[in-house]
Amino acid sequence: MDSKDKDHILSLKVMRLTRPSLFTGLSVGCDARDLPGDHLNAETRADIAVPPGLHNTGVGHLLLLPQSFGNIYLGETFSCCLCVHNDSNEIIRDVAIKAVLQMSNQRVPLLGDDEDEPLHQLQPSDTINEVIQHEVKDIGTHILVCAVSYQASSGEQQNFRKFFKFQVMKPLDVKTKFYNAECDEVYLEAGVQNITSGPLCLEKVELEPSPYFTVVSMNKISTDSNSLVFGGINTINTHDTRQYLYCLKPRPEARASPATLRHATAIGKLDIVWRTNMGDRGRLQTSQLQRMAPQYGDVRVTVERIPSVVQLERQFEVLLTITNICERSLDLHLAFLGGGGGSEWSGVSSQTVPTLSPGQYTSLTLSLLPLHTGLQTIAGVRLTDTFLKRTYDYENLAQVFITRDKVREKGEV
Amino acid sequence: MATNPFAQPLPSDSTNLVEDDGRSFFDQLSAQSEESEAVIQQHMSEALPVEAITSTQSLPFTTQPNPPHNELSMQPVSLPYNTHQPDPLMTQQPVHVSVTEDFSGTQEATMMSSMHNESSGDIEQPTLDVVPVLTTAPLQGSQTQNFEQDVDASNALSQQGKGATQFNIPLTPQYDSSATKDSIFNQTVSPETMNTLSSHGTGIPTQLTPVQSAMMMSMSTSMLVTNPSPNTNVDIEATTVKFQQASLDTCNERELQTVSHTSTAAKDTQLMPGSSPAGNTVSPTAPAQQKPLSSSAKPGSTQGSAQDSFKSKENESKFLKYFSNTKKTNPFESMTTQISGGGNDSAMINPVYMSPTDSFNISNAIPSPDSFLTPATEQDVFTASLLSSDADRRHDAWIPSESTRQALVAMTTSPPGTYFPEKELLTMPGIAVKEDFGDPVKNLVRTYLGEEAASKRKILTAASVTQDDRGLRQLIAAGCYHAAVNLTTQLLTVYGQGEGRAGHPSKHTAHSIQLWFTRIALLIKLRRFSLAEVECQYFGDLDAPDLYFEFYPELYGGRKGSMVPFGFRLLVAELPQHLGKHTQALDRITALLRTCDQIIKNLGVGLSEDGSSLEMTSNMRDDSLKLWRTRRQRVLYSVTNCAVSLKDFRLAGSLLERLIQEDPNAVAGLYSALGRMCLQLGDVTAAQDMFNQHLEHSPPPPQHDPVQGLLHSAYISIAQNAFKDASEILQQAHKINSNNGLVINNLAVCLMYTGRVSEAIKLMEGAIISQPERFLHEALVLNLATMYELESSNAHQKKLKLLSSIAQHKGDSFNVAALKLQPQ
Repeated sequence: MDSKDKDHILSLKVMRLTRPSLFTGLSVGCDARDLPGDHLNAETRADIAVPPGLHNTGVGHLLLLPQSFGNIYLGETFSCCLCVHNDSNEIIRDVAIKAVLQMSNQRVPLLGDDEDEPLHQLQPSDTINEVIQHEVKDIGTHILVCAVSYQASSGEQQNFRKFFKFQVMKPLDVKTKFYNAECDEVYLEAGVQNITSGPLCLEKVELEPSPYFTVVSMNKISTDSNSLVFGGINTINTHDTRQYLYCLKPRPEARASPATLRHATAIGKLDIVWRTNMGDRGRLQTSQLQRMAPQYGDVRVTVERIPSVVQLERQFEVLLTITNICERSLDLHLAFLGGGGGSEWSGVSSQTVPTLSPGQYTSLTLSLLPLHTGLQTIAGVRLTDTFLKRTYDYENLAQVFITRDKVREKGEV
Repeated sequence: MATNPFAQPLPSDSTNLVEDDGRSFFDQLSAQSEESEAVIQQHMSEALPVEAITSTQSLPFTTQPNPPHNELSMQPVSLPYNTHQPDPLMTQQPVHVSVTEDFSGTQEATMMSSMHNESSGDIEQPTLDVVPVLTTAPLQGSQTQNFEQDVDASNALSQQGKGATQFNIPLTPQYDSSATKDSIFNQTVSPETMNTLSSHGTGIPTQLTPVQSAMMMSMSTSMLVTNPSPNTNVDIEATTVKFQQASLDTCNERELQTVSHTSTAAKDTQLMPGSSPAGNTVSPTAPAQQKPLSSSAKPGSTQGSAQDSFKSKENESKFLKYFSNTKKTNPFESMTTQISGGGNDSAMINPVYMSPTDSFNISNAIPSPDSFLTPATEQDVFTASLLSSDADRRHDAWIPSESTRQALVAMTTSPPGTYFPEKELLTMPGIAVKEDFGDPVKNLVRTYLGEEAASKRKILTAASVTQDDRGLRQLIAAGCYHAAVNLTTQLLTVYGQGEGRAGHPSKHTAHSIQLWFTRIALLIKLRRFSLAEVECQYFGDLDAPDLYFEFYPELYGGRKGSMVPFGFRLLVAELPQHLGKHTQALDRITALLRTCDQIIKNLGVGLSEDGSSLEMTSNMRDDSLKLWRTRRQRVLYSVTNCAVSLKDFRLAGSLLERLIQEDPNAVAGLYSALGRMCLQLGDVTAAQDMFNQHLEHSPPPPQHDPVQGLLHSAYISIAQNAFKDASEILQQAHKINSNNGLVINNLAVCLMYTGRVSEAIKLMEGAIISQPERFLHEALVLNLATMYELESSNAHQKKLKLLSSIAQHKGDSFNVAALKLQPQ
């Protein structure tokens, strides 16, 4: 190696212990009637790297020590083996090994930090092995500093250091979308993208909700089964994204005060555990996810009841609730703008809603005549605040499926 | 690719620095480089020894002012460490060390990174997953102001609170103390590291500290706008880019080599017409060089015409020329002696294809499974067609492409000698290497141990065996694949398909195709994939008309089907996978699968394999169906292999599940493979399920081998990072069967991970000394060499000992790269 090392009678070697891989042998088969006869097959059978009684599946079973440093990602565990070897013919006393991981803004002692640690004594061509582990919590350049001190035969205290640099990269990219449903539920769609260089297995992606909410994970085929909706083999290839969906319901105590709930923007944290080659594990947690507070204005309209499937040209009814959520009384005027989508409102086109005091609500039953088949959006309700002359248009109240076929009764939400 | 798992240490002068300060080495973290590139920029460096800064070239990014978040991060986070060990220099100063030697560092890598440092000022700010609409999720506490602005902005965009907004979420590592107390993690901590880890654990704050916030900031994009990105960020990204380039470069180089290889081969073929020896104007119907095969196959023939024997004499002399370096025998004589003598391997391989047709008797008419070539002369087309047995038809059946089919129809319907297919329809293979292969083991021994040691190595070479199939088999059995390839070179030269003959028409026989198959198989075994690819390309998709028996009515009479053995097709289909062209491999393998399916379908509806109508007894049909179902299974295994190598675990998993349905004899083994595949992709739970399935499908206790189950538990322990448990489990297995190479190897690897390197080495060495033939395996040697490198400074000497053991016990096909000897 380099000349500097030769001055010391101890040598230090460091190897990163990534997980071992499985060695895959090459097997070539042929028929007994072919020219090489059984010799090639016999060689494959005798090969301890090929699982017996099976054609080569490409999945080996022989563990192979890592042959390169590989990549290391945030949240994974960095592990390496330090070896100090006595190259001389003398017994070396007072051998101490220290290892420190240096990052851009902190340092973590990994080995030999205790002052009262016993010092080693090394026989000729003997070796001290130390395995160190560290969970990587910082991105960017890391430098492993290893220092060895010992007492030379002359009684002189000697020491030397070595530096090993590596980069820690980000393994995952998380993007979220929030949907604030009218019924105070919040839906969170989290896209977890694998930005490592190989496939990985997301072992756990859980939402830890903030105190205002309870969470229902919607990523399993059914609530009581363990199988995910993502298919049998739980793996994400490089650059692939997987969408997780969560439904957050306000806790009863939070629901009691709509104002608090409206300002509850903290949703929770995503806790992600993944594994890669031979179960190498990593874990990360996102910061608190924030949604935007839903904007209702002064009045809020929710659909209380609507059939999900209706028959063409057969009138159906929609039950609306109009709530005053501001601090003053509201005088509202209801008008139809045309049914939007595939249906027309049927009924008095302009009517006055009874005065609503703050927090009060009223329910209205409105009729619609479906005119076009398909999945249609119910729209075209306009409320006018007669005092402020402010109008509220509702262009996406609900959706209904209009069909030509006869609809069985009670197909309601 | 030459990779080194070992951390290449920094060539540092730092030891000098340490001497003048005995207090702690770590007080002055510094780095030097030999070529005095910029090394460290330390801000607020008054307290630092001046000599630690040896920067001569300040890089643009290191001289930037400290990003604010660094200051922010300092107070709380330094606390645990400060109380732990007061060290004001290290905790308060972000130290940007720009040049140290990289872990992955081969020499080139180091050069790369230093080059990058010079140019990194020009490297663009990396685009960090920015989507225009995105806002940043707020950071804990400190950044609320910014966040509110963001929210306002997004509110303006939203409608009625229903607008879906995308957030880009910074990730932080798990910080609650339960993370370190996690059962899995705890289990795994080896006693040596326990102290450090637990002391470390107590120092971990349970809340997100500003350091992490700072880190999150550095990762969140919109923050980059308001705060200058930390210097390290630029560094990381740039370095990443650099490494990608480096790997690309090596790729390109490889690619280039292959290309140049191909182009030289092509050049050769262009050059050849001028320089080709006389007498090679081969017409497809009557090639001078192919004739001897059919004629010389009949020594002792009573019916042989005078003309024939004359010709064969003439050609014998030609043969002697080729084989002048061996004992002067006609290669085919040894063949006949083998037939009469019944050589060692003739029990398995009965070269009926070489037996004279005129000595036809009833015993020969019994379909021999080995009769892949049944030569016939024009005289006995009839007998030959009788000979073209059921087994032949079954094995040789193939469905030609439309153009090939037309050519074959034209061939059989036109009078002999009148139809000449287009040249494009012919395969014109040739050997693409000029030199014979040497013995790499011997060469290494010569280099490292001297001529004397090299002369002691005694192995078979192409010259020391008979120059025929038997010799070839002998070389293969002895593990001398290089020599065997050399022998195929000689034998193919006889067929006019030797070096430089690519692109020249030559006539195939079933035997020459078998030679090619053997050659390519051996090249692949020797991992000479590019050469195999070059030589295979002349065969195309193995569907040219001249690869069918019908193409040579004068030679094979009425025999039908393809001369290409099925194994050859698989080999050629799989080959691109070894060169990283997985898609091409998958395409080819899928095409094979399609043909197999079609053949099975044809047989199912009462047709012959290739879809023509043929009277077949139900036995014949069943035999054929059985054969083709087995072949289809082989193809499925091939696809699986390719999918695993591509790391397409979804595909591989679904194929393995399909094989579990289709190959009932291998169910247990397949579950085991599926389990190991799940571990490879990281799904430990699924792996455990599969291993349980394996147990269910294994035979009950008396016949049951407990070792397999222990191996499985050990894999699971490894996945849980519990190497200590894994090694204990494998010790148990080793006690049950101390002769299992797999257990020994896996145990040794686990011992390595628990820091017991010397024990691991002792175990491996013991196994290799006790049974060198069996345990001198490429993978075991690679592991042992890696252990040597880590354990001691005289790894080289120990590897040379291994080398001499290999020289003593192994043939020339041993992959000596496993020794990782440093070039001298």
